[in-house]
Amino acid sequence: MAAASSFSAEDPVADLACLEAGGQRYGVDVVLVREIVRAPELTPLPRSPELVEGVIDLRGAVIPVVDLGRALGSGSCADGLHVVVLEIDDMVLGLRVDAAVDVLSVLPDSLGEPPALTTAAGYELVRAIVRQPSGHPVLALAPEQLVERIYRSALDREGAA
Amino acid sequence: MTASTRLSLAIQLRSGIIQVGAAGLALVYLSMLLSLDSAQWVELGWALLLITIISAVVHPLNQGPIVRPVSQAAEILHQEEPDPELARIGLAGATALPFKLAVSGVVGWVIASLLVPLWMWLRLEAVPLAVLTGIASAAIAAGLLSTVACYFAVKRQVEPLLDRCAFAVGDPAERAKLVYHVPIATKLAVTSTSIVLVSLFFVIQLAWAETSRPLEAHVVEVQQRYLGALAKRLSVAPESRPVIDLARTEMRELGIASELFVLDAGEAAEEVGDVPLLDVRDLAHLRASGKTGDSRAILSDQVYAWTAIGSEGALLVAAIPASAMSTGLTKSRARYGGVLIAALLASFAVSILMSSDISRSLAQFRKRAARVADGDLGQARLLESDDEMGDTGREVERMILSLRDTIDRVTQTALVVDSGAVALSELGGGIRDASRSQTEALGEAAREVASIDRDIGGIKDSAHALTGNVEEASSSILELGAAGEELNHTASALSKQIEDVSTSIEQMIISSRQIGENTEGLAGEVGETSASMTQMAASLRSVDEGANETASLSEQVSQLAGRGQDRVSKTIEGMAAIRDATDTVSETIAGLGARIQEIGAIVDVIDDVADETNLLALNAAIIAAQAGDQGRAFSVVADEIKDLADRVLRSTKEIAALIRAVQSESGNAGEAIARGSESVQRGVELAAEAGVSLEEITTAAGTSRERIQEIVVAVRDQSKASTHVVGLMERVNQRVDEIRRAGAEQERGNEVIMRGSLMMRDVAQQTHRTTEEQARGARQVRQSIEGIQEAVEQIHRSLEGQSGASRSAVSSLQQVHEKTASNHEATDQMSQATEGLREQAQTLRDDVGRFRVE
Repeated sequence: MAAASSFSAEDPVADLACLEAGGQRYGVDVVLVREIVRAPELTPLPRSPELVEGVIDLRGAVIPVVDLGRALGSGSCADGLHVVVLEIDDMVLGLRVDAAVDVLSVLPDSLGEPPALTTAAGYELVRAIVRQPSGHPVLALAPEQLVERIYRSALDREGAA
Repeated sequence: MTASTRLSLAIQLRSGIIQVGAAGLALVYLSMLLSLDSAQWVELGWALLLITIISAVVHPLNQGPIVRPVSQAAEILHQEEPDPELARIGLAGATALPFKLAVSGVVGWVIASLLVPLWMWLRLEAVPLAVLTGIASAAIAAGLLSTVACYFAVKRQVEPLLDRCAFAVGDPAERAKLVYHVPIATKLAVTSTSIVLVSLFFVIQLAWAETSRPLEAHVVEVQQRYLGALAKRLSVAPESRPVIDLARTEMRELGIASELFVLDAGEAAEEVGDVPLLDVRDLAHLRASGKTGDSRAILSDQVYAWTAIGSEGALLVAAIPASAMSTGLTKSRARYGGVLIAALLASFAVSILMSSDISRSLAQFRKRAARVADGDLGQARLLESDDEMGDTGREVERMILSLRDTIDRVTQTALVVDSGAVALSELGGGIRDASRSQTEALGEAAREVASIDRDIGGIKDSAHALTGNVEEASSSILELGAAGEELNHTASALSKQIEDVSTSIEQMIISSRQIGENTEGLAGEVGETSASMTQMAASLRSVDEGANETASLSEQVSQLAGRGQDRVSKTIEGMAAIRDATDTVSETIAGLGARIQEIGAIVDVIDDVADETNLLALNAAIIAAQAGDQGRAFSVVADEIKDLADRVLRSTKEIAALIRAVQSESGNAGEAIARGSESVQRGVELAAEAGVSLEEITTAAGTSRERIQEIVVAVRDQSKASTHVVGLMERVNQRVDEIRRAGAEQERGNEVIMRGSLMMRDVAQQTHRTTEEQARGARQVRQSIEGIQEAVEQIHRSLEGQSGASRSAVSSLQQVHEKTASNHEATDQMSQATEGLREQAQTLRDDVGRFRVE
């Protein structure tokens, strides 16, 4: 849990790796990002958890890759250019995105709460909303939630099987 | 008893007697030659009985089919009208009967010659081979002789039937087919062979019997003497075995015995199985005879003698096979002579039979020939036989038949000739009269023909004249035809003018009082017409000029077209140059496109690098952010790098867009150039077409120039014609003047003028029509004229021919006349000849009358 929750609404200053998926911009705390690579050819895994597209070989380490668009329900990123390699609680995970765009320094005044409705319904993928001067806000993600969802879906599938 | 059974019985009887006679002779021969004992005679009797029984059974089966047709046909002997079918059967059967009977007889005798010895050999234990062969040869000899005798006897027996059948059948050809042929050669061969065979058998038998007997007597005598001596020696010497062995050797060396042995008295004939050479019969003979004896008493295959030795009745026997004796032959001349005489007699009998068969046929021939020689060609006894005599007889019969036909025909012909001669002599007088009147008529006819000939000469002259006339007419018409064309041109105008004139005259006549004025007016009109004709001539000249001008214009056109062609070829060259240029441009643009593709590839690489740089910058920024405040400065650099990379990316995108634009433009340019190239190609083709068109124009201009020349010539002709018309108009004018004068002179003769004018109009119209027709029909007229000429030529030729024919007719009439005269003489001669013919016919009839046909 070294850098799991380094970013929160209360923490006024943070750097977000800005990602594009399905036409929307998302942010992930740079602390969690190990590196960004060009999307290589994916090797599909048999009977893998639902959100895991496959695995890639990154300099000898085999890393599972999740399609961020599909995971967020906003359309597939199968033609995406980059894979963002995250390291969450000793687990290395690849997020396939349309493109990694930028590194964004978040100022306290630009940070907004996510809608209460979503958090109340247990929807905790979006941790905060970062307003931008251009008008299009960036959604700050909670990648550990994503990991949890992956586990859950795997458990569901096993339960169903 | 019917005729058929009688005949068949007679045949059977005759053959039976002969066979039985032959059998009897054979038995006599056997009894003389072979000394048979009683047992052998008994067995021979049994065998003969067996043969008789077998032949009694087989005989009807064998001879029935052979004899039946003959007995069937025997009915014919008592029929008034012989049945032809029966006669055919009889003819075939009666000719076949003797030969078939003979063959069956021979077969029977041969079987008998085998069966009897076999029977005896089976029944008797020991029969000498000489006996068996003697019986067999006697049977064969008897068979052969009886068969030959039987053949001729039976043939003579059926002769009456054969004659009757031959007469009933009649036709020699048919008879030849029916008759069973036995050639004389066959008969002679069989007869002589049988004679030779029989003689041979006799001689062999005699040789067999008679050569052995004297020898046997001699040998047994020597054997007897030797045995006597040996018996004495044995009575002295008790040890007999070596003596006997020595004696056997001696006898063998001397050739008087092959065996010498002692036969003990106690031994029964049956028990002496090991006695060499001797058989049961010989042993029985030994026992039955006394102390001494020999083999001469019985017919044996061995020659032996014996003598008794000692007192126990033992016999000392010396024996040798008859076949082992080989010394010179001694003959019994008397016996030989008898057998030879018998053979000779048999041969003589057979020959007599044979030759009498032939001589009977020949005698019949002689009789028949003598009758024919006497002129008797009527029915007579026919010669029928199974051999060549029969063939010859039939041929002679056929010859007589055809001779009869010929004589019948000759008789009829003689009668016809006679009556013909009578008719001819009657006609002779008529022919003489007719020929005389014919001579006179021919003289007249000759005179007539001579006058015809003269007439034909006249016709020929006329025809010559006609030919000249036709030729003249033809040349005139040809001239006329030549003028026709011209006349046709003028006649048209003339006709119009005459029409006008005629109308004017009509008006003149209708308004008789105004004749003068109207005539004046007419003259004026004529003058006007003349003037207008002159004008027309002038206008024709202008047409001529125009035509000349047109000709020069067409010349110009031709020249211009030539120049146009030059231009066109230059155009084509230019077009080719353009095409080459466009091809080069097209290639260049294609090269440009390839270069641009390469640039695009390079730009892609740059884009890639920029992308990579961007990513690196992003990673750097992230790392800087993770470093916190220490990485802030690095973060700035990373941002800068990222900006650079973004700019590069944007530039490369722009370049890519530019490249795409250039590519599409160059594509468009390529297409445009291809289109241009096609246009150029089409231009070249069009130019070539234009060249062709120009050439056609040049040709057309040349043609039009020629046509114009023709027009000029035609216009000149027309001009001449119009001048001619003007001349004609002047003549019309003169006529009008005449009319005017006539009108002035004959004011009261209006009606006449009226008629005249009407007639003139008609004439004018007719002339018009005629000239047109003339123009049209000029060629036809020429052809017709040629046809007429040919026809006239033909007439001329045929007249020549007729003239020749009439001359030849005259000469032939003269010849006919001469021939008629000679005919007259010939008729006289013929009359005399007819008389002679009549006399000859009478003689012929008398000659033929000598032959009696019935």
